[in-house]
Amino acid sequence: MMDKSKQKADFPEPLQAVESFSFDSHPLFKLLDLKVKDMSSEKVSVCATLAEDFEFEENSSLLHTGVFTIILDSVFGFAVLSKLKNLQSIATINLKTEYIVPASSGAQVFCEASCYAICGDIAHVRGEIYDSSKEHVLATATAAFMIGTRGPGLIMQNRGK
Amino acid sequence: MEVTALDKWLGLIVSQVQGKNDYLLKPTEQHIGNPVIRALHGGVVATFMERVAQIELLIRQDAIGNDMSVVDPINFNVDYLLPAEYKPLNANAVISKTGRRIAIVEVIAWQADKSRPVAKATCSFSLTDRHAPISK
Repeated sequence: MMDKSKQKADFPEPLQAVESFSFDSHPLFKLLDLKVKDMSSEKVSVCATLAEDFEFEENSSLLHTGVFTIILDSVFGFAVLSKLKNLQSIATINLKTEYIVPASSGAQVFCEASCYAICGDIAHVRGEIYDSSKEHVLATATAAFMIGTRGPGLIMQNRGK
Repeated sequence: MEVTALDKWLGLIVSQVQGKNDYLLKPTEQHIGNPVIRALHGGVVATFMERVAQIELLIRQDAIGNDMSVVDPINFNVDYLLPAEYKPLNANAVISKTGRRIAIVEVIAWQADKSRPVAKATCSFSLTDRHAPISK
């Protein structure tokens, strides 16, 4: 096992960039009230409060599972960035989500993700969404990302401008 | 069909043309993933496609002859084929299987050119109530 503090020193720029990113300036992240709780190259932990905009049934506060996919895709991106040595643009190639328990509007959930392998320009990520007690898994997912896509990445906008 | 909060948020429009359902997402600022290039968020594209799959089952339930009072997503696989620009997103759905207990629906999404899809997805649904009641 590598020493975590050493690892963080080795990969400072992307980690710092995600940590300093203004989530309130991003309308979708603001809607989900995304807040980074913990971040290292090993694991990213983010909390979100689920908005009623994702309700999809009459007289029910149950939310569409798509809200989990939005959170997972976002946090998976942070997990890939936190593993990179230099800031680069990334893109989701594909995403596979398993829905276990739905959530209601107003619920707070936690998403934990890790980029467990990078092979060439492909990053492999897995993660889960938990309820507020962190005892129940609500959704799990795996995804592959392309590293080094054309065009500026999301996190780059707050850097060097 | 009732317009739900989610359908409003997505700006989702369904039009029926010659027995086929065409779905449209009207983008807003809250759908953007990367503000620098104003690309739609992959998760928003996925949510739209999953909702399309669900609505396709609800619309066709009488023709299929199945009770679709529960259309509960089990899992969802999406491949992103092209960046989704800040433009309307179209989708069509094809029901691959409907049984007593599950349904599987394929969805493709495109923008300007249907022959160049932005994403394709497979959604599996449980048609029975598999969850205990959830208190708010």
